[in-house]
Formats: sequence, C-alpha cells, structure tokens
Amino acid sequence: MKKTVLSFLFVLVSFHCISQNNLKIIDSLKLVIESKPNDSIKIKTYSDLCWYYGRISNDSAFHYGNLALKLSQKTNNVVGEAQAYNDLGIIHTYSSNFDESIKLYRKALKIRKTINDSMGIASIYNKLCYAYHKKFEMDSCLTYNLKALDIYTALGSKRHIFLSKGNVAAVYESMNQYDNALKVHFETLEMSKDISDSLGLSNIYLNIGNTYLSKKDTLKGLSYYDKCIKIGELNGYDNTLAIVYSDYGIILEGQKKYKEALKFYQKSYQLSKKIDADVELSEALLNLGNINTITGNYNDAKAKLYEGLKLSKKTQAKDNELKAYELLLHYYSKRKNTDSILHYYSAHKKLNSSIYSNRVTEEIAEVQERYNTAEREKEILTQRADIAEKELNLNKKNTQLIGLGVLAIVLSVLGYLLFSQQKLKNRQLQKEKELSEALIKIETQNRLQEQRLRISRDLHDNIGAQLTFIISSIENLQYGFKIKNEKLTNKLSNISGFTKETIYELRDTIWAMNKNAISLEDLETRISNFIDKADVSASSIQFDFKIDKAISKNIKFTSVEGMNIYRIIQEAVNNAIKYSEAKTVLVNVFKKDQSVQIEIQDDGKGFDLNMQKDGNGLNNIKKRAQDIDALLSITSSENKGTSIILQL
Amino acid sequence: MVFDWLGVVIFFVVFLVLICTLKVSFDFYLIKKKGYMDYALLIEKYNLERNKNHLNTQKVKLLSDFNNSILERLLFITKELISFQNLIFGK
Repeated sequence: MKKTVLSFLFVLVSFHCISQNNLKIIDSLKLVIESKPNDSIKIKTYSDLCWYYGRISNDSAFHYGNLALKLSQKTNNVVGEAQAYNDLGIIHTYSSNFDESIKLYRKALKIRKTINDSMGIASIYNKLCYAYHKKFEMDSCLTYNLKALDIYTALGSKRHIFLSKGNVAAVYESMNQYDNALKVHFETLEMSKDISDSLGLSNIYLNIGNTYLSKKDTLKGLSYYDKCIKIGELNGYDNTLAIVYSDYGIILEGQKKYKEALKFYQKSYQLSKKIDADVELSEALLNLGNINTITGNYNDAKAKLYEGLKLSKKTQAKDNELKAYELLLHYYSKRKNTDSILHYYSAHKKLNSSIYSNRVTEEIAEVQERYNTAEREKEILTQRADIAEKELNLNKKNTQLIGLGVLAIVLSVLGYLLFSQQKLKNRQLQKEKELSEALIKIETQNRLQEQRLRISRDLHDNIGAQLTFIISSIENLQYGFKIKNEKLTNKLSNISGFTKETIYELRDTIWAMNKNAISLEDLETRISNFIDKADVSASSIQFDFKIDKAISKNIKFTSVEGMNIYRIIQEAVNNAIKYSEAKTVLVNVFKKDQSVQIEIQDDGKGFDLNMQKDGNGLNNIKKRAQDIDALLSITSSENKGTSIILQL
Repeated sequence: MVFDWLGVVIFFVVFLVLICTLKVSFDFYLIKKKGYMDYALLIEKYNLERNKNHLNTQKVKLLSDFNNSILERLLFITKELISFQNLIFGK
C-alpha cells in the first residue's frame, strides 16, 4: 500500500533529521532549569524539553509537558498553558493516542482563540487535521485543514498555505480522486519551488508518484519516486525515505522482482525503526511479511505480519490494519488454514465496511463540496473585485458625465445671464434715450417759453411806463390848462380812470406771473386789498370778506387758476357795485364736500337770468371758470339779490 | 462620486465657470441698479422740466389772455384820445 505523506508530518519529522543533536539540546535545556530562571523561562524550557524528548522518550516528554502545564496554570500564563496542551497533544499523536491528542488540541485551541493567536490557531487546526486523518475521519480532517488554510491565506504565509494544500491533496488521494489530487499536488509543487522547501519538494514528488501509481501510470510514478529519493538521500530525510522505499518495494513486488523489493522493504524497515516512526514501521513489517509469504518463508512472514498488525492497532492506522488482515488472509490461504482465513476475512470485511461506509462517503462528499464552495467563494471574491473595479471606473465616468452636465448647465446659465445683461443694457439705453429726447424737447420748449415770458415782461414794463406817461399827461392837461369844458373834463377823467384800471390789471398780471404758485393766503391778501379799495370807492355798500378757518391756507393754485379766481371775484364784485344797488356784498370762501367754494353774494335788485343776456362781465366770469375747470353756479332773481358760487 | 484626474479637471472648470457666473450675476444686479438710478434721475429731471413747462404754459396762457386784454384796452384808450382830440378841435 502506498503511503501519502501529510504536510503536518513535515513539521513533526523535521526534527528527527537532526535527532542526534536532540540530546545535546536537552542537556543544555536542563542546565537552564538548574540555573533557576523565572517562571516564564521555566515554562518555555519545560515545553522545549517536552518537544525534544518527544521521539526519544515519551515518558520524559509527558513529564516535562505536564510540568509546563502545571506551572503555566499556577502562574496564569495562558500562552504557556496553550503551548503545553499543544506539546502534550503532539506527544499523544506520537503515541498514536489520537483521541487524547484531539482533546488536548481542543483545549489549546480554546485558549488561543481567547488570546487571538491566529498562527497558533491555524497550527492547532493543522494538527487536528492530521489526527483525524489518522483516524480516517476525512470530513473532520478536511474541515480543519480548510480552516487552517483560510487563516494562512489571510496571514499571507506561503509556506503554511503550501502545507495545507498538500493536506488537501492527501485527502483527495484518500478519497480516490486522483485528478483532483494531482491538480493540487502540482499547485503545491510550484509553491515549494517558490519557497525553496526541499523537504516539502521531496514529499510532493513522493505524493505525485503515489497518485500516478494509483492511476496505473507506473513509469511516471517511478520517475517521481526517483526524484523524491534523490532529494531525500541528499538531505537525509529519513521519514520520507522510509515511505518511498516502501512504496518502491511495492512496485518491484508487483513486477515480481522479489529480491529487489525485499531490499527496499528492509531499507524502509531500518529507517522507520531508526526514527521511531510506528506507522511507517508497521507498514514496513507488513510488506516484509508479505514478501516472505510470497517467497515461502512462512515463519518470518507470520511473525512480521502479526507484529505489523499489532503495531497498526497500536497506532490506530486503520489502513495498515486493513492491509494486515488482507496479507494475513493471503498468508493463511497459502497455509490452507480455513478457520484463520474465515476469521481474517471477516475482520477485513468488518474493518473495510467501517472505513468505507456510506456515511463516511457522504460526509467526505459534503466536505469536498465545502472545499469546492470555498474555492468558488474565492472565485466570487475575485469576480467581485473585478466588478468593484468596473464599478469604480463606471463611477469615475459617471462623475465625469455629471461634471460635464453641470458644466453645460452652468455654461447655459452664464450664456443666458450674458444675453440678459446685454438685453437689459440695450433696454436701459433705449429708455434713457427716449427720456433724454423727451427731456431735450421739453427743455427746448421751456427755453422758448421763458424767452417769450422775458420778452412779454419787457413789453409790459414798456407798456406800464407808457400808461403812466398817459395818466401823467392827462392829469397835467386837467390841472395845467384848467379846462372848463365839462365834456372834455369827463372825457379826460374817463381816459385817466381806464388807464389806471389797465395799469392795475397789468400789475395784477405781473404779480401772478412772478409767482410759480399762488397760495390761498396770497389770494386772501389780494382779495382783501381789492375789497378795501371797493369799500372806499363805494361807501354806500358794506363789504364783507370771510374765509372758513377749516380751509388750509397752504392750498396752492397755479398762476392761471389764482388769477382767474381773483378776476372772477373782481368781476362779480364790480358787477354788484355797478348794477345791483346792493347794500351789502359778501365774499365767502368755505369748504363743502372736500372742495373749496367761493360765493359772491349781494342783496341788490338782482336780475332775471332768463331775460338777462350775458354781458361781457358774466361772459368773462363763465369763460374764466371754464378755463380753470371750476363749476360755476349763478342764482339771481329780481329784488332778491344775486349769488355766484364758484366750486374749485 | 469617484474622481479621476479628468473628473477633477472638469469640476475645476465647473468651479471657474461658476465663479464667472456669479460675477456676471453680480454685475447684472449692479447694472440693473445703476440703470434704475440713472433712469430715476432722468425721470426726476424730466418731471421738474415738465412741471416747469406746465408753469410756463400757464404763465404764457395768462400772458396771452392779458395781451389780448391790454391790446383791447390800448385800442380803447387810443380811440378815446382820438375822440378827445376831435372834441378839442370841434370835429
């Protein structure tokens, strides 16, 4: 039977290669203990002693392991405690007491989990895998191996990834999935070259050779064995050599080269014994037993086969035990011992069915599926990374597109603003231009009007002077020549009076023209003066002038309005003096319905409005009222006086 | 959002254009304000001139009426003087 080497062994066996040095190391460690170091150093030294005694003396190893454990527990050194459990577990593994070693590994695992020792946890998983592999519980073996692989992958430890993958391949091999096993072997082969691990390389060559032989490809199998032997002999890898010699012997045996096969078996037996590897030793014994059976050396054969069976049972190496039953069956068939044949046939069948039961097969399939799932998850992770990268690129492009979109919008806004700004400027310029033109026009008109007014003023000054001259000349004539003719005297008086009236009118007009606005107060003063003069000239009439105090004296009239109001009052009063024969004339300014009303009322003889044709006086009054948009109301009847109301 | 160099450049340009836009907006506001102020000044001036024109128109109208009146009065005085002259010379 070919023997596949688990990677776990690489670690365990490595120190056997230097076992000659172990005693020296142990001595030096004991010297350390004698020097009475502190507790932590003591624990470490006990652990090291346990480790180095591992293959020399199990009892000593257990002794120092237990010392390390007790001291760790006593000093609450959890790291030391976990290490002690780990070391004791390994020693139990050497003793093929896998159940006990699993218990101890679990204790170590629990502690290492609490202190988050990733590397330590992975190491324990790896050892658990080995223990379960030895118990032929492949599902548990693969589960722990995958856990270890995950941690090593996370930590990026190439060497440990390599070891774990080697274990995966070994499990495939055990499950007769040779293609998968080969695939993983070649992966690990590349890795071992990368990390320059010659021991690992030699074991991989051995495993590849085994797999090819399982696939009935003897040539390729032997070529890989040769490579393994070459590296093993060069570096003194006894454990690997023990296995490969055994496997080589099996091939030679198959080729009926019994003498040569016996030599290889013996080499394997000697090396296994040298390194105290019970499992390999049991296999070598079984192989030797079988070759003795074939060659007819039955005494030796029986002794070796039973010794091999015993050792197989001790090491709980069920594949070896199965092989032992098979070879004993063969032996007894040669010896024609029916009872023994039946006995070993039954034992073989029983063990075989227990190993390859359906449950185990299903569990293995399940674990395999889990492993495949893990691989797929890795692929998914890779795909996710690709997708994330693509998403990143897409996001970058989206960002650019968003940026360009925003740029386009902002540019549009800028363009619109510039256009609106220009439009606003044009509109403002247009409005200003129109207004400026209107202003220029009105200014021109104003200048023209001012010029006309200036000319008029000059003219009126001149007229005023001339009228004064006329009055003066007439008065000189009247008093200088002492004219007796009444008609001439009346004529001159009329001309003089009329001229004086004209001068008054001229003065009133100039007064009005010199004011931009005429307030009610101005008007009041003017009307009062006029009433006073009227009072003097018509002493038989009593004049009264009233202004309602409710009316604000700040009311302003334009010069035309003020002048026309004044003229209407003047005209009405003059008419009353001339024609009404009134005793009283009342001029009343009052407020009615938010409007200013001026009433000129007399108690004279009145007149019939229907009969009276409008003379110049009434006509002038109506025309002036119309000019200033004022309502005029004239009421009069015979012997009841006259009332003229002007509503502004 | 994820930026690469092109994205950064684009957003930098957007930032610059945005600043330009803000400047133009502010200028727009200033131009509008200045325009309103200038127009308001012109309107005020125009209203003053119109008021002045109104006053002048009133005065001119007043003068026009007065001129008519004084013309008639002067004619009347002339006529009366001629009549007086005729009386003196017994015509």
